[in-house]
Amino acid sequence: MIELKNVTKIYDGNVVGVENLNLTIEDGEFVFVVGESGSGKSTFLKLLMRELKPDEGQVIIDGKDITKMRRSKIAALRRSMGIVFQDYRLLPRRTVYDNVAFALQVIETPGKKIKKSVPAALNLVGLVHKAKSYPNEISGGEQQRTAIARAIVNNPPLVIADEPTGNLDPRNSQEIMEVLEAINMRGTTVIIATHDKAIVNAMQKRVIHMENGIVVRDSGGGYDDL
Amino acid sequence: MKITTMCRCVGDGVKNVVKNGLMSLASVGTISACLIILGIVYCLVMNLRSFTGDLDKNVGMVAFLKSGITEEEVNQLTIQLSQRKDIESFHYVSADEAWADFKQEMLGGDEITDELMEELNADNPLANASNFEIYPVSAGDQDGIADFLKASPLVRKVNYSANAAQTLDTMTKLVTYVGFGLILFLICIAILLISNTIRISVYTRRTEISIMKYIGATDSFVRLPFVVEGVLIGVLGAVGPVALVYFGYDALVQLIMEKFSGIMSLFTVLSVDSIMMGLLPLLLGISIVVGVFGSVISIRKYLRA
Repeated sequence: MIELKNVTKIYDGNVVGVENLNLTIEDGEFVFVVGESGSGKSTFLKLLMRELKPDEGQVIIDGKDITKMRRSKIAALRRSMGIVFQDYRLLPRRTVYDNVAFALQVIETPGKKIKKSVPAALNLVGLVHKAKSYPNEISGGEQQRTAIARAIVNNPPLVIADEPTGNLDPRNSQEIMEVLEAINMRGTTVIIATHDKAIVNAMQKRVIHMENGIVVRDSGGGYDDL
Repeated sequence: MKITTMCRCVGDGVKNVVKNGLMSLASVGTISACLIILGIVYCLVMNLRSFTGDLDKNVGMVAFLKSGITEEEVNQLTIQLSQRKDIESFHYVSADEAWADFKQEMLGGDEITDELMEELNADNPLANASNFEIYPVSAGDQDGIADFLKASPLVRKVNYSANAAQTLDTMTKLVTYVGFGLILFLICIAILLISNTIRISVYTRRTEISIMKYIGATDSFVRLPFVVEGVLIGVLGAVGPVALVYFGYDALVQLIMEKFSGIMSLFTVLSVDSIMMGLLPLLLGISIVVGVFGSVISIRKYLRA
């Protein structure tokens, strides 16, 4: 379970990131965080990843306040979450397989387990046949699916995606959402920051709408539902 | 960290050096240049230290004893001198020995001198010259020993050069401080050079580093390949200077001996082996420390994500 209690983050120059944020996300939920650019979506995700520390308040993940976590413990925290970016962030000189395996090598997973887990992750995102391809040889949608495979290959209980469909056409966006929904169906908590109204409306999940760092709506339904 | 992971990190570090071929080569070259200067300075400093050290040990002092001193009193002073830790060695010269030494020096000259010496044999003109020749551990110890001797009721006069002692002491210190100051300065330059190379390497791999951080890599996992790269560049940079000093030292000493034979006959030059015994671990140590520091400094910023 994720809890944010009275969380405030103000950037230099008095720019509000988030202000007095109070939220609870239960295990296994599928949540969209929506809002215009600068509304505080990315700040919210960065607080969860402990890329940022709030000025005030607590960010509690599985009972631990990560704002008080020592820097040396951040690596362990990040291993319990898969992160997906808008720009995929794949390593261009590695194949699809190696990009996914990289996530396990980095956390010192034994070779045998890597050989088992990578094909399973690629199977889930439907990319087994592209395992030997390099990122520049596959489409944007396939690159994003590779990034998702990399995020989930370690079976983390939480997946955070920042604008995962930002660079994709509607068809590819739809496919990515299907993959993320499949992952959610396995019990993984999925949090997606987006301003893609079409996918939010199509999915009909919990929507946290932010404006100027404040939550203006937190309910199920489409992008503009109140 | 597991051994396989460590091997992978070391492998990555080696690959980085090869991948950044030209940049690595430039760094190795500049570090070599830096370490060559350091090697030369080291040879110079060590030889000067050895020279001043030799001089230091050869600075002697003479304590003339009062007339009518008994053998027992001489023995008493001998015991006192042998108990002092600031005295390297000493030697008692009796009046007869002093006269014999003097004669030895003067005999074999002209006939008149030889005859005069023979006549004086009966009445030793140096009857008042029994003395102790004393060699302090360091020239700087002379003042303390002189004070002790002057205070002794058995000693008539103490001859020593306070200036020589002070000059030597100052010279040794100056050579040491300037030499090690220069070495420290060169180490700082080497650290800057290595950290620049690593910085470029880190910059080209910044995406990879950020991905590593997001998927839970520890700082040491991210850092190790760059540290290996830095150490490798440092060690490669040290190979040339070590070889140059090893093979060039004797030739250089020979050349200097020929050109400045007058001055060079005054002191013994250290052998290449004794130079290498200090220089090899110093250069290796420096290259490793410089490699580690250079890479750690460069990557620090990227580990904060």
